[in-house]
Amino acid sequence: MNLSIPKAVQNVLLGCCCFFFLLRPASAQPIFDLEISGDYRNATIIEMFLDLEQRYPVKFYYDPDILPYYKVGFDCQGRRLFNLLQTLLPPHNLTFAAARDNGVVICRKVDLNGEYVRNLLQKWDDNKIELPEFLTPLKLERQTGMPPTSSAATVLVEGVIKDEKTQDPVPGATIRTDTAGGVTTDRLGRFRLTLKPGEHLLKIQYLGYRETEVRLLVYQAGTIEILMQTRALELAAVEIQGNKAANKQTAVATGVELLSTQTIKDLPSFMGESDVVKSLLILPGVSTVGEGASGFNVRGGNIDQNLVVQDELPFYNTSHVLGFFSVFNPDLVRSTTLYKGHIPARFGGRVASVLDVKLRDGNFSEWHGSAGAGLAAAKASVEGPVWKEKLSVLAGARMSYSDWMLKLAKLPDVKQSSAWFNDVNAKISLRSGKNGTISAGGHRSEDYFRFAQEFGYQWKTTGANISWRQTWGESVLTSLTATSGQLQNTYFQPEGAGAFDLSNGLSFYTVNAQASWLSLANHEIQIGGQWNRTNVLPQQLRPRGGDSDILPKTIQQENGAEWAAFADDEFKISEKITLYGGLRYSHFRTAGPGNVRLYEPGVPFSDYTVTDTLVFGDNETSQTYGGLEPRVSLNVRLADQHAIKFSYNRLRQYQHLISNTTAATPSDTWQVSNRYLRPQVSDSYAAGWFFTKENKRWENSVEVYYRHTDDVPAYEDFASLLLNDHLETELIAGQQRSYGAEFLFRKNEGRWTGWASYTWSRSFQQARSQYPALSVNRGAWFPANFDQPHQAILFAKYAINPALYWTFNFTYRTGRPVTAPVNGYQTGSVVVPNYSDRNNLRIPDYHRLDAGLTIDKTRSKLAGLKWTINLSVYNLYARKNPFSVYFKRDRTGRPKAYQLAVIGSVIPAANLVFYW
Amino acid sequence: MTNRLLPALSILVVILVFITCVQEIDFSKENTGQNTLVVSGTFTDGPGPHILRLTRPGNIDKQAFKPVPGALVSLSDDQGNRYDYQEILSLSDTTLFYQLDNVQGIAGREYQIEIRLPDGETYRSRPEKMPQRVLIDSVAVRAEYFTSINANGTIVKEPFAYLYAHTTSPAQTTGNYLRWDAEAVYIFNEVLKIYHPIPPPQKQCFIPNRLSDQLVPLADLNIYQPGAAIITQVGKRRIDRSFEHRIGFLVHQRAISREAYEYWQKIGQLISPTGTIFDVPPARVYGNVENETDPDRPALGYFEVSAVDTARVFTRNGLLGDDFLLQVNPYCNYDWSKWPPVNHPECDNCLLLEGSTLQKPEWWE
Repeated sequence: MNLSIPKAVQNVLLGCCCFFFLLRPASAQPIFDLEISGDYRNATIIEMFLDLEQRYPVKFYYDPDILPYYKVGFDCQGRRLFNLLQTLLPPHNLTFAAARDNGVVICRKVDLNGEYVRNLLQKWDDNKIELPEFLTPLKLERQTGMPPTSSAATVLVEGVIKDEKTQDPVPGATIRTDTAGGVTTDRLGRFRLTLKPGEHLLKIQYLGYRETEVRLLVYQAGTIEILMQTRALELAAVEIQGNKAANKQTAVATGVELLSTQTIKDLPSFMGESDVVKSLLILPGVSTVGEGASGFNVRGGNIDQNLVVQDELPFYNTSHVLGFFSVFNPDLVRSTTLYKGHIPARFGGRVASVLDVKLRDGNFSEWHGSAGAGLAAAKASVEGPVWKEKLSVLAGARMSYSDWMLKLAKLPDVKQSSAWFNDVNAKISLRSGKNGTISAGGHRSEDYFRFAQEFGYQWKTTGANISWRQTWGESVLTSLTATSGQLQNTYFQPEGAGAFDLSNGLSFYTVNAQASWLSLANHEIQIGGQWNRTNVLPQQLRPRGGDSDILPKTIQQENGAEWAAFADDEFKISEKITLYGGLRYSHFRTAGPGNVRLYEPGVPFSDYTVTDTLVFGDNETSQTYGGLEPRVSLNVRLADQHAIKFSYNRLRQYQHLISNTTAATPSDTWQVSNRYLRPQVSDSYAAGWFFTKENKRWENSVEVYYRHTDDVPAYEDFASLLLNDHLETELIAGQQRSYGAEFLFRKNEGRWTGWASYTWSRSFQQARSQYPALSVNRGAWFPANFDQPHQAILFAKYAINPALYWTFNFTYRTGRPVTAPVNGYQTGSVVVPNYSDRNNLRIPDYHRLDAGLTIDKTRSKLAGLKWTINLSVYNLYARKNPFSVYFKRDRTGRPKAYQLAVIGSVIPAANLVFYW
Repeated sequence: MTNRLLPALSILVVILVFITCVQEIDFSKENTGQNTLVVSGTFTDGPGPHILRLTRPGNIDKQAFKPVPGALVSLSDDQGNRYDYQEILSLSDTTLFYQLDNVQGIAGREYQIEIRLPDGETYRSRPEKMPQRVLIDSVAVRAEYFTSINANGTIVKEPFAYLYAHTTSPAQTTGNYLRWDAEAVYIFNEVLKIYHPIPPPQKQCFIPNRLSDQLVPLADLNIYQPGAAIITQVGKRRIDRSFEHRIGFLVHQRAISREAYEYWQKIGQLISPTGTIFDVPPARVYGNVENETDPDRPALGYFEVSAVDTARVFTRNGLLGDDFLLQVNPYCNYDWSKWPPVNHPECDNCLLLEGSTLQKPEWWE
């Protein structure tokens, strides 16, 4: 007799049989009676499992993606395994069951079924489960010398840390010993330790690399080499590479901030597009005048006082689409370092800060790529070896498509508007010999914005760089970089008899040569020379279209060339004291073609007081400036976890952004210093106290600073700057002073990570002319546009597991100063608003809360496709943060003051990116 | 799915598109500078009277600017002559001003005023030279429809009358600057009072009509060739019932100094911002009157020395141009349901209209 069982019932029975075969009731299994002991206060669950597997006859089966990876903080002595798991797992919606002989399956409660468990065991059997290496240190063993042990009290151990794959030195890595404190590797990845003979445990950490533990047997003095592994699981997500200067405790410099690329991506962002420059705004001491404003202000400096470089290629415009996004593609960025206090002597040309963005090299061994899309933009990147282990490429592009949103608007003006941007970055890297690298890169970005048929902007940046880095012998590192680029801005009126194009811009060429001598006698010496040439493109007014009546006009701008030489030394005076001393000399030459007016002495510069005009031919020198720029910094480590630092910088700036608008616009022009526009010179002083706790689990710092800058261009009231070939009639050489204190509390580990910061800062300007009528506010000091005395930031990340986490960002800033009408009066027949003194009032305070949820499947080892999705809500409680105040007549014709909030609503966004 | 997705997406998009937000903001609590003196006056090459107003800044919505009484104001010239102003309290509009009669400016002479306030503060204007008069050729009115889009996105078409001054650039243009201001007066006729047993005479009132848009028309003659025709819009008025009968415009063309030109240029920028984030930041505008007691607190406003020429033009509805055929409906009608039986009270008594007078302006023809 044939028994016929339906197929569906067969499946159910099979599933049930397998399930009960695979899993047995937990409490009844002897495996759970294991009595275990261990100190897991500083271990993750996976680390605990690995340890238990080594010491007890037990095997754990789990999907690493679903386990929490923060420290479990658990110390158990003689507890049953059952009790331990019962305590640890249910709070995370996890459960467990026995499997096979001595196995334990860990899974979500909802997944506890036969099919899931069978798949899981099969993947373990097939070795398809990869443990997240970054959770477990790489364990190595090294020894110096051979037995017998030296009789000396201490011996010198020298070492070098290199990347396992590339053999490149790893600068800035931290080496901690169990007995002799910690040190940091130099630029060639080298370190030295004075240790007692015997056994030591070295813990080596570096962002982007797996933590490495070295059991070191010291017999005699000697050298060791340690190879660190990159975090393989995070290649697609691109963890930031660290920077020695950003090590708050050991680095000599004050005011250096390193923002991890992961943090940049984690931050809830406007339209879901992660952004390098906008992310800087969560750092203490960095602010902006408002949403939609280009650039950023650092410690009370103007936006043009920040030197922004990407692989040494200068960026004059850092913003896309009126300041909502920056031109840096976070998918390609390796590191973002902001020098806001101490600025090394190799940097110059700006008086407030340096933002140093480094692109990573393409992968030398495998091809990878990514593609993603959000509401406003799409992006893609690809990287891989053209010649394996020798030549790699990296390329990425972004493109916006926000016009579709504008087309759906009701307002005709918005419907007829258009806004888009795109950018492309590419880099090619060649390993030349054993110790050399040649790389070349290019950048191009373009933006377009048009408001109905009324006005529009278009701006374009192109640049290229080529760089050769070579290590010579044991101690000398050289680099030679050349860059070239161009910035072109156009403001236009699209239609009608008044249609026009008004363009400006500049082109530049730079050459940087540097040599570093890294002596093991506690010195790091660097010398170098730099040259740059800036050609300011003429301001041109041209008719647009055949119907335009506009007469063309061209304003010729002067050009400039700067050269600089520098030398510096970071001298480790003792284990506790490090001194940095640097000296830079810069020289600037203003070059023709150009006309320079001479004016009557004793009266204000104006068209009516011109006495003569000097005409300078092409490249003819019309003015020179120059001077020394000393840089000093001192780090005194009071104890292992405390350090105090001091720094002093003098900087000179020969290029100036001429603007009198609230926010920088593409119609603002860059000008080089000339007869009347003197270089800005700043003196900055900073001091800081840095404190880390529980092996860097907590980082705290307090920094104070003061900066005074001379010859800052300030515009007179009602200055007319557009198409003006004699700006000296509209500008005053002003002064600027800023000071403040920054407090940072940062938590680096655990389920909650993030930081809270508070900044108190003031920034004032003075524009005093020798002719009192031209002085602003009668020559008194007044708050700068971006003077925001109180700024508080709270950034928090709550990780449910490695693949799922929430991020929150709260920002508070005092409202910025404005010049606004306080009352009115009548003059003639006109009723006129009576404005306050410049920047004498303030708009309401700015505050905003953002939240984001990220599902990161790049870490998954169970799925073939890797992806991340970021859901974010910007401005969660729909605060209408005012950006500016302006004056307009209402329907009755009476003048009224209005505040403009650029973003007045909740902005939800989603961004999906695939990796392969 | 698509049917449900699209509305949801649209809502999201609308939220995104309307993210920009404009709100009124009030800085009146910060009412600083209320004690600043505002000087507004002209001295011309005409016979006068020359009017000078001294006020304090006030609430701009109410446009009620408190006059300063009790000041001693005098005009002096570079020949050592000195003339005192009289304080006048206008009964018609209860305003207070200072008036100088029977003095006529002479081109080439420098004039300045001195103001002594009751509290002892003394102000003095910087000397200004009386310019040469530049003659105005004519003035004209032209009507056009002005198209705009209101906040709801609806296209609005409204009729406006534009007032133009025609001037020929003089032979000597260097150092010449012009400013125009205009005033308008219209006639309002009451209805025939047939509802009275003995109908009283039908009154005709003259009502000053403010030009709705404030603007500061200026010209720098230095940029013109001698003899060039200069046409400048000097006023704009929405066409309404004031055009029903007759409306007259009087235009003053003032030759002014460069300093005055630059002052009015700033005032012009101040009252016509575009309201975008790209606006040039505005600022307080100081004129040519200094505070001798406290130099850090100069006066606002301007004491202008100008040579004036005037021209006038009259028009009415339907006479505003060849291609402009707008007809304003009669404003006044009988309404027998109430007393007096007119649809508007002013149709029975035109003196009820603000500023109304039975006195014909001197320049009326």
